[in-house]
Amino acid sequence: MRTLFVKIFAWFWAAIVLVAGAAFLSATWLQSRPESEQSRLRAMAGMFTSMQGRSLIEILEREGPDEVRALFKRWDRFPDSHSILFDADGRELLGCVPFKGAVDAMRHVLESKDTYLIQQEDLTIVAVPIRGRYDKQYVMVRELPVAGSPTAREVPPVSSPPIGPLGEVPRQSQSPKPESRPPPRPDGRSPRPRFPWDMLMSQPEIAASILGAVILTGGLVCYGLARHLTNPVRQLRSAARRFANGDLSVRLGVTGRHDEIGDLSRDFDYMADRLERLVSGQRQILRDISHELRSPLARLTVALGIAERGTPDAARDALQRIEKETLRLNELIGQLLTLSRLESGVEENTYEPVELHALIDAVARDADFEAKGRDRAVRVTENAPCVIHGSSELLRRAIENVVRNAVRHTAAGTTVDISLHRNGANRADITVRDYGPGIPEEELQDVFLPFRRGSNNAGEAFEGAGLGLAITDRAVRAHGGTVRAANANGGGLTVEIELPIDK
Amino acid sequence: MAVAPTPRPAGRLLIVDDDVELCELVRTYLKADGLETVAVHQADAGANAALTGGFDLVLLDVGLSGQSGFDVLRRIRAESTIPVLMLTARGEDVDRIVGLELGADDYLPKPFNPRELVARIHAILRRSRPAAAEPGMPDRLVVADVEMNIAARVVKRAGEPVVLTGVEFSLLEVLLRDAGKVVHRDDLFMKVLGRREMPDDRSLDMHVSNLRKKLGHKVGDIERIKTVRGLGYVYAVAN
Repeated sequence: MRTLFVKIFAWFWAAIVLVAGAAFLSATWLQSRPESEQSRLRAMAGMFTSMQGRSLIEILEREGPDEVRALFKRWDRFPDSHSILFDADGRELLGCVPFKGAVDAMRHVLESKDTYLIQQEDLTIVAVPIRGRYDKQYVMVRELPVAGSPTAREVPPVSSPPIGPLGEVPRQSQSPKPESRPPPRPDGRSPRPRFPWDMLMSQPEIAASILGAVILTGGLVCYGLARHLTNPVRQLRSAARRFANGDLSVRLGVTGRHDEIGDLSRDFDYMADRLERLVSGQRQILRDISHELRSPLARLTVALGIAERGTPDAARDALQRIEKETLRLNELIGQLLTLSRLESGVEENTYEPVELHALIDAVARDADFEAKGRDRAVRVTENAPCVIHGSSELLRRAIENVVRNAVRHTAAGTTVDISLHRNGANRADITVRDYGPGIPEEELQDVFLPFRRGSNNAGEAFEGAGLGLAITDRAVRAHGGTVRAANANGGGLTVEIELPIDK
Repeated sequence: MAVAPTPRPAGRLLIVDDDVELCELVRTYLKADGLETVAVHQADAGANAALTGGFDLVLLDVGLSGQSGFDVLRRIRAESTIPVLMLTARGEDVDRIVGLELGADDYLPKPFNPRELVARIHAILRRSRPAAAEPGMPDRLVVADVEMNIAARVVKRAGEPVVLTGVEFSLLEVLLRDAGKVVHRDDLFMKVLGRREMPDDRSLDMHVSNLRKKLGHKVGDIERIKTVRGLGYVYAVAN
C-alpha cells in the first residue's frame, strides 16, 4: 500500500497531530511562564515593597518602632495588606504577629539575599532584603492580594508608600525573575493549578477526548485532501493505460479543476487528441495506399483476363490497358517514395542555388510538348530571374505536379499560364492557372492532402495517382513556402506557390 | 481453371463501383460470358437501380468512397433479397463481416481474378433460380416448425413466412435435407456458395448466424442449428 494516497494521507495526518501536540505543549509552556502583565506587576511589587521597606527602615532607625507602628495603623485600613520587618537575625522588629508564610519567606531572603515572591491562590507574599544605615540587614515581608482576584481591585497594595526616591531601588529587584524556582508547597498542592498541562494530567479523560478529536478531524481532513489530490492522478493513470492499450479515444474531460493536476489532465487530453489524429491519419494513409495500389491491380487482372481469351482486337486494347496500369502503378510507387522522403524530412545539406526561372522554362517546355498532343498548350507569361536556395529536384517536381494537374484539367483548346513573379526582395510567387472547370469551394483546402482527388466542378473523377499536389505541398513547405489553390475569376483553377528567397 | 462450359444462365448484372475504368473492363469481360452488365458509379443511384427489380445480381464495391457501400447494401436488403456479391477492396476483415452480416450473399476481395468472378456469379445465379425439376428430390421439406417449399422458394416457420436471401435459402435447404446429421463445412461451402473455403473465411458462419437470427435460435428447448466444432453444422431434429 505504498500509494500516493496513503503517503499523502499518512504524512498530513501525522503532521496535523504533531502540530496540534506541539501547539498544545508550547501553549502549556508559555502559560507556565508568567504572563507578561503579571510578571511586570510582580516586578513592581518587588520594587515598591523594597522602596517602602527602605522608608520604613529609615523611620525605624531614626525615630523608633512606635512611629512605624503608627504608620502601620494608618495602613491597616487595608485589611489584606500586612507588612512585617525582620532584622538580619530573623527577629521581628515591630512586635507584630507574622502571618502565615512570612517567616518562611524571610528565611529565603536571608539565605539568597534576593527578592523572594511566592504566589498562592489569592495571595502573594513578597519578601525583599533591605539595607539600612551602616549596612545593617533587614527583611521586609509583605502580603499582597493576587492581581485579578476578587479583592485585588480594592487593594492597591503597592501604591501607598510615597517615600523614597525611585533611584534608590535595590539593584536586584530591578531584574525581576522573582518567581524562579518556587519551593514545593508543603501541602502537596500544585502552586500553578490552572495551567492546561496540569489540568490534563489531573483529568486524563479530557486529555483523551481532545487527542481523539484532533486525530479524528485531522484524519477526515487528510482523507479528503489525499482523495482530492490522488483521485485525478488515478484517473490519469487509468486513462494513460487505456490509451497505451490502443484506445485512442480516451479523454479525461476535466474542466472544473484549475490547479496543476487540472492542467496536466487537460494536457493529457491535448496530447491524446494530437496522437489520435496523427495515428488515424497514418492509418488512413496506409489504407489509402493499399486501396490506391489495388485499384490499378484490379484493372490489370481484369484486363489480363480479357487479353487471355478475347479476340485479337480486344486483346490489343487490353494489353494497352495493362501497359497503362503498369505505368500508373510505377508512377504511384515513385510518388509514394518521394512523399515518404519528404515526410521524414529533407536533407537541407543537399540544398544548392536553384535558378527558378530556368526550372520554370524547362517544366513548361516538357508540359507543353505533352499538352500539344491533347490539343492543349502551356506558356510562360512572366519569368523574373530568381535564384533560391533549395533542392532543384524537389522544386522541379513541385512545379511539375501543379502544371501537369493544370494540363489535365484545362479545357481542350485552352492554354495553361505559368508566371514567376518577384514579390519584393525576398519572395518569389509562382502562379499556375488553368481554364478548366475548377474545384468545388469546399474541397479547395483538401486538394493538397494525399489521395484527395475528389471531383472537379464537372463531376468527373480526377485522374492520376492523387499524390502530385500532396508532394507539391510538402516540397514547398520544406523550402519554407506555402501553396494555395483558388478558383480563378472567369473559371479554372489557380495554384499559387510562394517561396522565400534567401539573401 | 476453365469456366464451366455447360448451360450458362445469361443474366443481367448491376455493378456499383466508383472505378469507372474497372467497371468498363468488367463489362467487357462479362459480355463474353453472356452476362449483361450495367455500371453505376454513385452510391445512391446504385441502390435505386438495384431496387428496380431489373437485375439478377448486384456486384457491389463496399469500399465505395467511405461507408456508402454499406449504406447501399442496407438499403437493398431493407426491401429486396436480390443476390449481392460484395467486392471488398480494402481486404479488411471488418468490411467482409459487416457486409455478410448485412446480408450480402458472398464476397470477393479486390483485386480479383475475372474467372473467379464469373464462377461466383454463376454459382449465385444458379442458386437463386428455382431448381424446378431436380430428380429424386422432394420439393417440400418439413422439419419440426419449419416448412420449406423449394419450387416456390418459400419458407414458413410456425405458419409464418420468413424472408430469406438466396444463400440463406440454399443453406437451410442443405441442412434440412440432412436434418439430424452433421453436414461438413466443405460440403456446405460447395453446395451453398459454390466454392471452396478461403483462408480466414467467415462467410459460412455469418450466413448460419443470420439464419439463426431469422428462424430463432431454438426449437422447443434444443438448439436449432448446432455448430460441430471443426466439422460443420447439424440441424436439430426433435427426438
